[in-house]
Formats: sequence, C-alpha cells, structure tokens
Amino acid sequence: MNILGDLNNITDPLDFKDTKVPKLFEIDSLLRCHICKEFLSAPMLTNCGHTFCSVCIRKYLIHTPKCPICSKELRESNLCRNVLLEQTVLSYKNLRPDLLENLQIPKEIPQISNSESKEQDVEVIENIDDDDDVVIIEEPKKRKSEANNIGQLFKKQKEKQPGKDKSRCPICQKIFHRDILEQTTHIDTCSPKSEHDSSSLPNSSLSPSSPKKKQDLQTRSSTSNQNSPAPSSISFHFQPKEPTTDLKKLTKLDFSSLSNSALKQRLTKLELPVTGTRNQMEARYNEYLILWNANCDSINPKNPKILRKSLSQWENSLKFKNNSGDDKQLDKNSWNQLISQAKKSALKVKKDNKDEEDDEKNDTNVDLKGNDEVQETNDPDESFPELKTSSQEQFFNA
Amino acid sequence: MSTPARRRLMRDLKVDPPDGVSASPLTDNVMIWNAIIIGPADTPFEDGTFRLSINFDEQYPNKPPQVKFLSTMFHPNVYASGELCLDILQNRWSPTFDVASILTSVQSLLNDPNISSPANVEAANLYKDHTSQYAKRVRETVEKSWADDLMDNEDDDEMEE
Repeated sequence: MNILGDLNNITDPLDFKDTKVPKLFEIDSLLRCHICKEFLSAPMLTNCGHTFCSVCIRKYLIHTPKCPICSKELRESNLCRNVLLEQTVLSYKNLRPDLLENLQIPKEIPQISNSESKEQDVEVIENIDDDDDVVIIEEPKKRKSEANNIGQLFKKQKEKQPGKDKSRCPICQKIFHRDILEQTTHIDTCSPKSEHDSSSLPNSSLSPSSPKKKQDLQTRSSTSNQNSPAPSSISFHFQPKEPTTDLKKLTKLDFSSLSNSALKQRLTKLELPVTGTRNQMEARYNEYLILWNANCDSINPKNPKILRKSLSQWENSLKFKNNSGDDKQLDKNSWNQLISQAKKSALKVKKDNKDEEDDEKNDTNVDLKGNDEVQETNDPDESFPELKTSSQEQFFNA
Repeated sequence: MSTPARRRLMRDLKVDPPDGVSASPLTDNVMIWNAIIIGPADTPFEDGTFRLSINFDEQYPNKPPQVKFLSTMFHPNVYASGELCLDILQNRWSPTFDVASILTSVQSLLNDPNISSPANVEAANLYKDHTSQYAKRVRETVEKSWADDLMDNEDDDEMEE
C-alpha cells in the first residue's frame, strides 16, 4: 500500500501518453538524468557530450571513471556546468503541471447541466455500455471547452494584441511599428518595463494558448536575423545566478596522512557529526564532499542544512541494509499474478510473430491462388493458441 | 524512508518490462523484487515460467543488484545456487540500467548463453556438442517450473477447503 501511495507522486514521461500531445513524452524524457531518471538537477556535461545530475555522475565516477552511457574515460575534472539546460529544466518543471492539466483528454462522462438539452441524457442511458457512443457525448464538452478557450483568446487579443503592422517589443512590452523593431536597434537598447510587469509575464505565458506567447514567438522569428535574438520574457524570470563566492568546493582529503583529531576538526568545521569509527567518518566526509560540490554546481544552491539532512538520511539508509532477508518472496497470489501477466504478454508476441508469418504466407499464396481459399487455410486466431499450449496442457493433464 | 535508491526503484516500477516478463517488488520492501520470465518461443525454454529474485541495496543504481533464479535452471551461465553469470550484472554494469533492462538481458541470455565462462560446465558442454540432450535437460526444468506453479495452486485449493 505504501508503495502505491508513493507511486502517485512520481512524475513520468508516460504521464503525457494519454494527453492531447503525447509527443511531449520526448521532451519530458530528454530533460531527465539517465542515472536517477528524475529531472536533471545541476546538470553536468561530460566531454563525450552526455549530461547527468551533478550528484549522480560524481557519485558514480568515484568508483568507475567512465561515462555511464558510452563508457569513455571520464573524470570529475572533465565535467562542465550546463547552466542553460538547468534553466530549461526549471522552466519546464514549472510548466509541467499546467501542460498536463490543459492537455488532458476528458475521460469521465461530463455532468450535464440543467441548461443543456435532455436529448443527451437519453443518449447516455441508452449507450452506457458502448464505449464508442459514449465518446460522442464527450465531444460536445471538448468542443465547448475549446470554444471557451477561443473566446477567451479573442478577448485577450482584443485587449492586448497590437495592430497588424505593429508588434510588441519582447523586452519592454511596448507596442511599436514592426519596422522599428526590425530595423532599428531598439531591442538592443531597451530595458524591461518594470519589475512588476515582467514578473507577471511568465505566468501568463504558461498557458499554451496564450496569445502573448505566440506573439513572442512571432516577434522573435521576425527579428532572428539581427545580431540580438530577443530574449524571451522567461529569461528575465530565471536570471542566471552565479554561485556566491562563499560556496567554495571542497577538496578530497588524503586520509592516510590525516590524524583522527585533524579529521574531526575538518568535520566539525563543516558542522558534521564526529561520531562513529574512523571509516565511518571518512565515508561521511566523502559523501558530504559530493553533496556539497554538486550543490556548488547548481544555480539555486541549497542551504547546507538541507545537505546535512540528506547526509544523515544516507547514513541511516546504510544501517537498514542488513535487515532485509534474502530469501523473502512474494506470496502465492502475487506470484500467480506475475505469471499470468508474463504469459499474457508472451502470448501476444507469439501471436504477432505468427500473424506476420501468416501475412507473408498470405502474400505468396495470393499470387498463386485466389484470395478466398487462402483465408480458410490461414486462420491465425483460431488454430494458433491451441497449438502452442498443447504441450503444456498435456503436462497438466498427465 | 525515501532514499535515492528507493526513489529510483519506484521509478523502475513505472517502466513496463519486456514482453514475456513481469516483475514486482515485495509489498513491504521495495528493495526486493520478484520476477517471472517466460521461456522465449522457439527455444528449449519455451513456455517455462522461471522465477527470479532481485535484491537491491542503497548503492543502486551505482552498483548492480543481485539477481538469482529461484527456479531450477539448466543453463551454461547459471550456477546451481541460481545465481547467474551475466556481464552487465558485473563488470559491464551501467547506472543507466533499470529493472526492465536487467530482465531483458536475462531473458535474452536464456537462448544466447556465453560459453566462454560457464557457470555450469555440464550445461555448457551439452550445449556445444549434444544439442538434443541439452534441449532435453532444459525441457525437464521447464516442466519442473510448471509443476512448481501447479503445486502453488494446489496448496491454495487445500487452504480454501
């Protein structure tokens, strides 16, 4: 039960599978770390062109100095921050819930309000068992909501859309004649309108149908030939934050030449506990080194308190390790469930293969004989499953 | 308690395993998984229901899990204990792998054994020189796997009575 509860909190690229734009699956997977499969946090670029979370790749490189994807030699010193990607991930993460909400395909039968005709009520009752027909009921709602969106769109356009020959400057948000934007250096010199206005912008551009966003895109593409591709309004929201100077990276310690008390001093300086054996203290320092240095790579470094908390979580998790019994197994019902799941998908493959073979046969037979005869001799759905399970049945009957 | 390894395993749960394979963590411990691999079609292993256990530790995915057949196997790369000799579970492990990719590899290992470093010498020799006898021995394990399933169900019937 616990497990299922947690499962709902986990975002997955497949969340987009059943939306209006399933292809968003791609961007959702691309922005994830190959190691932890979560959205990249402080992404680091390797010299072989791959990208991982700073923590993930640093932890891995300690014992295996190779790229996890292409196995090329790789060292921590070869890693390079990827600030733009980090900003992209942050922006996308903010956008994601809105995308999912706005792109949802309505699944449940919509509640029909009193104002709507009763005809539809009747239809629902008649066709309640027939999926295809129920979809027809869903459509009006979809159209209606789209219509609403379009209505809103026009409203906004009336308010905000500049005239035909005019465009909004993507930076200061003032409306200019297009020529001014395209042929003068206005964009190079202008500055954002005001703190308040620019901060409100990213929110409005979150909704996919926002006219402002489209406008931004248009303007940008029309000015793309100039030296200064106009930055989008979002870039003001996420000003690259350079790590503050007091966030200095920790260095690896040469433990062999370090006395116990010197090591304790180091740990105390970092506000880390000095309990446990020498080995535990060394491991503690090394783990914290990774957390700390990865934190330095982020444009939004976390408070050291949070780092220390993850460190103690990590130490606790090591204690748990020995408690798990190796021979523990699923109960019989769960095993049976697994078996039937696996059999089902295995059978599907066999069937697909058989169908393909039959198709090939069909193709050759069609040339020789007529279409009708072939269909009789090749009926994959009927003859196949019996044939394949017969040996198993014999076994069970014996 | 949420640790990187546990979070990662919750993610792995969302990835569908390959066809003919199913896997699930224990209800009370996400660090131990059990899996079923159906023997691939057109191989001596065909239709066998082979049971595995996969044990993870907190180093996952930086370190590979321990994978073990619970069913009796006759395979050049599977020890009598059920432990298996598979490069991606040892020196060729990558932290980019997940449960689904591990099981895909084990599934393909069934019909594509690595003879150069056998864990079961007899199986390796038969595989090389006496194919029909090898197939016969494998079929025995397939039938054993069915018998195990059947026993489980009979136990259930008794309990119902």
